[in-house]
Amino acid sequence: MTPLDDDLLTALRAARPDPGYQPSATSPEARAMLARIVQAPPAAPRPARRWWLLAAPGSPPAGRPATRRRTAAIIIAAATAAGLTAAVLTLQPANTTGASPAAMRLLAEIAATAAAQPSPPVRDSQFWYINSWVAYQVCNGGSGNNCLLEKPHERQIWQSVSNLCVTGLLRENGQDTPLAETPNNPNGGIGTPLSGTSPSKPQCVDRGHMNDPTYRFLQSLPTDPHALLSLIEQEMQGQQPRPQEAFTTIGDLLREAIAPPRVSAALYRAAALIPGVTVVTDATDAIGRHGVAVAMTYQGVQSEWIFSKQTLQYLGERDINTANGSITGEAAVLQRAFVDHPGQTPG
Amino acid sequence: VDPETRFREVFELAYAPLCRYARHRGLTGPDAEDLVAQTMEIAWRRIREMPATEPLPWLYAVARNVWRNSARRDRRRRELLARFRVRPQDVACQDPGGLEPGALRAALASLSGDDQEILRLVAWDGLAPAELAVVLGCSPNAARTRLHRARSRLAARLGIGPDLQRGALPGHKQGDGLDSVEV
Repeated sequence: MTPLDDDLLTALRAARPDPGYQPSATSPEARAMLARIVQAPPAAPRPARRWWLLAAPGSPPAGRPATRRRTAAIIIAAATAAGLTAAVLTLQPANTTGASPAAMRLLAEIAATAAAQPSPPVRDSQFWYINSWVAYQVCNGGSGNNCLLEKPHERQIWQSVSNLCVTGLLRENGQDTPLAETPNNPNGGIGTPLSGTSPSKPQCVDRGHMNDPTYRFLQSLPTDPHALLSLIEQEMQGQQPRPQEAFTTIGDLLREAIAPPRVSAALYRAAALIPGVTVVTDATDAIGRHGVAVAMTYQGVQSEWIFSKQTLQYLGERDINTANGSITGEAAVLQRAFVDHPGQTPG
Repeated sequence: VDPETRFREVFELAYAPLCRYARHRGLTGPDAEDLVAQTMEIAWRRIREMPATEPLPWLYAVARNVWRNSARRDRRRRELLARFRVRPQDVACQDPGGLEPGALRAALASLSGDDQEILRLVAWDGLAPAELAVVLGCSPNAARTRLHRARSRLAARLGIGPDLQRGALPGHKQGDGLDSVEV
């Protein structure tokens, strides 16, 4: 008996991408990877990064209940993040070259503007509300050639300012999707059933982290740009080289989040320390507003953060395929506010 | 067996399956290589914790966490939107008899992340229910139930009833592990 005696799963198997793909462990890439990995001793201490903590399954695999194990991981991760915040203050930034001179000047002005924004008091029970228009590239089929940019559409999100386990809301494409993180599902509750999770009684406490922050988490970040960049680089080691990783992370924090003015300013000042960051003198966001952009290019995609030339406020972002100039994603942020309930719009 | 010899054996065994795992999740080129390399690095560092027999499901669990963590970073911009780009009502209007690859992939993409991953692990990566249980960190029975439910939801998105395929083709065995699960 195998699951593939099942006709539907058999049909699904036939629909897998690239069925003829035959990777080989004896290929030069594989050999190089193996040689690189075994250079380090196997017992080397694990870096204190969240993704390491969550990346290894429990051992033995059929051991403790998943819930307890993962809850523990969250607590450890939170403690680690707090420890890092204190520890990085003494570290030097990885790069001292930084952005282009024009980008440094622009980001300094943007940071000064951001720092001067008002900072209303926020209660733990509140939610941030971010209203944006977004369009992303949709590719049909596995080939990757068949891609189109969607029409921009409205996207509204509500998330607790203090706890990701409190159910939030995503409203997009005419659909309401509850957003919740449960102890069983620390890595992504989006789209999953909300068994037992309600706004009044969250089952866990998660203040968030670099790639899924809450306002309280952002409040806790260092406001020294070097310390902040070091923290981002340490927490976010992942798929891309460090400068791109940091740029992407900061970009994600700017788009659909609200940071306190001092932290917003520090994020811009940290971006000014990233090598390869440049200025694009004219860029257009998802609803056609023109502005000046801070940009970085990686693997044929130029990612731009777009700001009003008049006010230096963040307008939105755009990703451009440098090979053919086509837009692969765009966004425009229209409103950010704190509200009392998911689904509530300000004013 | 010293750790390095053991790791080299595991690498030999797991390299191709992990590359396919990455490919099945839409990763190519450097992104796919990074997922495999990060998974292997964790395996190497934690070689002493790896199960002595059948390390592959353990490695899938590592890969799954690495992938989810990297996917999460820009989930707001891509992963999440990808999940919503096919709406259930669109899928339900498609020809249910076809089960053609595009419709199946679209229906799969409309499911919750967990359902998608369970179905991919079984149908695309070829895991047996007992191996799925290791990856999900639950009992084999619970894994079967979750697979059965995910399969039912896939069938519903395709606009076909849960019974339509049972025994529909010659050679189908009655009473296999999937069908015997009571939900």
